[in-house]
Amino acid sequence: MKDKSKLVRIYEISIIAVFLLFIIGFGAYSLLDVNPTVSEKEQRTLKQFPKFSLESYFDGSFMQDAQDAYTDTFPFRDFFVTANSNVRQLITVKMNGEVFVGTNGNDGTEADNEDSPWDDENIVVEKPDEGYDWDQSGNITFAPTQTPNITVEPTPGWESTPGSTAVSTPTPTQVTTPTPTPKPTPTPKPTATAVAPTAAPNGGGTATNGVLIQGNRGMEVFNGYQTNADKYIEFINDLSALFPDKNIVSLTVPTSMYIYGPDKYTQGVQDQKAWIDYIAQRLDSAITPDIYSAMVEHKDEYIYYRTDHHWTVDGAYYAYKQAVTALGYEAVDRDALESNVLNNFLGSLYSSTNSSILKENPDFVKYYIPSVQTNCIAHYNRSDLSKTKEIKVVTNTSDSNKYKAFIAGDNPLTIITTNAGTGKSAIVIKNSYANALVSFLVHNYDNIYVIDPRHVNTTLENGLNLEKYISNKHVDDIFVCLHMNHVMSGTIQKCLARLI
Amino acid sequence: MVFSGLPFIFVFLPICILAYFVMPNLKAKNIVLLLASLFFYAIGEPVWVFLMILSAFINYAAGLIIDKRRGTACAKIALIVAVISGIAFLVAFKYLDFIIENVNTLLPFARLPLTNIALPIGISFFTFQTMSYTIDVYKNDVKVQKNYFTFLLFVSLFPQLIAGPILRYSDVALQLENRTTTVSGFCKGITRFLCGCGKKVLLANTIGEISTLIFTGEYIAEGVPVFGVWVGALCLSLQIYFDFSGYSDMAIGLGYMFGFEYGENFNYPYISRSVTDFWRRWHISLGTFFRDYVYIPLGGNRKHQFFNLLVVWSLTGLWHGASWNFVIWGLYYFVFLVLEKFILRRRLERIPVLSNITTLLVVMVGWTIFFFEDIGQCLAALRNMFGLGNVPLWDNTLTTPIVNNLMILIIGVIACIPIGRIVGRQVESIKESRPTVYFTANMAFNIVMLFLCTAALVGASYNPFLYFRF
Repeated sequence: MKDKSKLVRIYEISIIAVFLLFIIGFGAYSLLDVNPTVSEKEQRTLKQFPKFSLESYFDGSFMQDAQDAYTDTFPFRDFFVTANSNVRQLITVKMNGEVFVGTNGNDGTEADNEDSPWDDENIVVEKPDEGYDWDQSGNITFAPTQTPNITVEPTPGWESTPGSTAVSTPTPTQVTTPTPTPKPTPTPKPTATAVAPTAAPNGGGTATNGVLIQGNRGMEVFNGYQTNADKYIEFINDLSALFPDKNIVSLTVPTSMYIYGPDKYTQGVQDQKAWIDYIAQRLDSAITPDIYSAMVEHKDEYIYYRTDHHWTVDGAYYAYKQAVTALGYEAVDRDALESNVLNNFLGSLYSSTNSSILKENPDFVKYYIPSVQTNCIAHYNRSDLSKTKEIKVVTNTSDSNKYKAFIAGDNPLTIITTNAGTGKSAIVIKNSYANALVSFLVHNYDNIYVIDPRHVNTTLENGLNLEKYISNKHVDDIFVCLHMNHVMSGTIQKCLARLI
Repeated sequence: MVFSGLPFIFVFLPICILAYFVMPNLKAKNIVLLLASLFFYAIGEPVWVFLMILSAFINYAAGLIIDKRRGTACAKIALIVAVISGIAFLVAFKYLDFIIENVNTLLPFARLPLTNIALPIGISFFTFQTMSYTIDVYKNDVKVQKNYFTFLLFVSLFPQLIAGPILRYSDVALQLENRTTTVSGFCKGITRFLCGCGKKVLLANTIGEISTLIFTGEYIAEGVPVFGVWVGALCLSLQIYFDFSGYSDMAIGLGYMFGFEYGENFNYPYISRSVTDFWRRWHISLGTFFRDYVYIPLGGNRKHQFFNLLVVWSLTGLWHGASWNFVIWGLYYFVFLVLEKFILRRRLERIPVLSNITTLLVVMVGWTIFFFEDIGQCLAALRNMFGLGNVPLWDNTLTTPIVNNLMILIIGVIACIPIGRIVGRQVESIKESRPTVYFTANMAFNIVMLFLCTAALVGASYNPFLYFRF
């Protein structure tokens, strides 16, 4: 009996010892280790220990920030994050191979915040590239390491001086000659008016945002909101009214959920086609190419990524073909173009879900090298649009976000000049979906101005006034290209609205 | 600062334990504990920590006066001042904006500005603790505490400071000045703490994701389908229980580590056979507080029992938050409790499964009322729940997330049943007969919990920059 109680004592002490060793050991290590400043996995800066001030102490923000920073920079962070999602996956019951993951990520609503990651001072979306250096603080500074063969003169007040973006004219090697065409007449509006989709009979509302994983394909859940659709319609109609002599092309791109997702996610307010029709029928004179049918027709091809929410370059090609055909231009022949493939792409749907199924089935990014000479200048700084860097229309990117192969990702303004010799210019108001599209549009335009409304700070003195800008640039065609989740996003509609 | 967070588990707790056990005597240990507690509170409330110190001082002083001038008007005045100041603090910091809003709504000409004071954490808990002390001294139920710092330690003791259980001074009076931490106690405390941590981090937070999915955002505006509300209510019931009882477990476990023995705060409430039974098992320290300091002084069941119950349950509702839905929630229970008291209970409790189910349904509807501070949303949810809203029975998009989480829901439901306790008794006997088996299991549980909770807490901060969601 005495032996037993002795044994119990030993066991109890060992339980205490293990617990204390764990929390004291780990605690000490967590305080002594060097804190990382960025998480590559999450593509963001981690919270840093705040500076102490009496003010921040008494309003409670110091202690809160300190705790947040501690949690954010906990040792072996990636290991624990992966372990946690593996445990979660282990206990997840699949339903017809479907897993729903509510996304917990930064939804970018802080985009208007000056401290937002969109700001170049702490761009984390951007990883070290040829043109970038990481400085000690983990911020990215622009340092041209390659010698550009083209001189770029940043011109302050560039918006009011059309054509002043000094670029040397590249020597043409191959020129496609599209035949100039008259402005096409917009397709006549159907007489029956599409009504805003309402809840399907078998489904009340829609269960919020998230990613559905079916088999090895991730798909972003789509939800339609009439108010945002109406704002989009208003924006396009405003453009039409401002520029009655220009072609306005509205590209509302269905997402992979609508093409591949289970029925229950494509009915009622989640019916993307119904919303596309709703919008198309309410546009005064804009051209609305039928991208949906093109996508459905080619749904057996690799037109959408499975681990990323974007379409692939081939998906973009079918939309491009629809769009330029509607404008009366000749589409470039994809098969005549050289291409390149970037393997092992794990995109946004993987990072937001941490799904091991997606991880085991990575995508690849294919891009076509334009047959025309292009010169591409990115105005990359949201706070100072006069800052520029030279980029390429398509590039073998070293970024883990391989979709950045197309026009180096999302910059506030990107100006592309080509030797297509068509005498045409276009403006593209877009989100990242259009990045792949642009790699084809370069064959049809001498000048393309790509504007990402999310990143344009209109409150700046030298900010961008779309109306003035378009007038100054003498463009022929105006493209607006968003995928349906963004057409229905209140935030992006706000960004669009502030442009005009 | 919350217990279920990395800064607490890996910084505050180890430093606190080391400093505490390095100290040679109880006096020094108490000083460590007091400083740690004040620091703990100041982390969350850098300003209102002084309110807590003041509140403790008023009641400490009142206790001294009452003790010295026992039986005189002076003692009575001290009691009244202490109680009124406690209530005044509560009203000023918790209910003032609520009162102002209602005055502004009721009187069309009133334009009173809101104070916008953020509720000091735990004010409802420490105010009740200090008040109960003064009242007990007045009733001569406890000995007066002559040392202010010891009294402040009782008020601010960090394990129970933020979310209870509500301590009675009489329960810990002796322990404050005379207690030892035993090896067994510390060991028990660790396991209890990790058990609570698991309830909160692994069960409550995970199940909370589903209730959030169903009960927030655009979805609620579109109308949640009939069974969607019921599933949401079920998830909510599990989430609130694991959240709250997990926190109580952590508090009790931490108490053990420092030599305190707190009473239990939950006793498997979801196996109740009546609403009366439920309230004997749910947040026990609050129920007994209202019983001893409101219900019985009002006359209990000897005179105007109906009125007394009405007061107690309005206050119970209001205690949970300054919003009408909490009052309605309290009155909702009042109705059921009265029904049971005068008509149903004895009959109900005799029918085992049916009484369990009806009680659970009442509780689930209750949590739905509890959840929606917006009365409009609350009514909409209730309408949908009973098929009176214009919503379908089910929404197919809900199927996948719910099926995905089936396992965790089943674990949750099982954890509500005292299987742990039934097994636990046998485990206790195993502890005697086969300690190796018992402690190996105990050790494994601790290590798994520590690992899973750490991973889940780090995982919760996983916040990928999703450039596409914007």
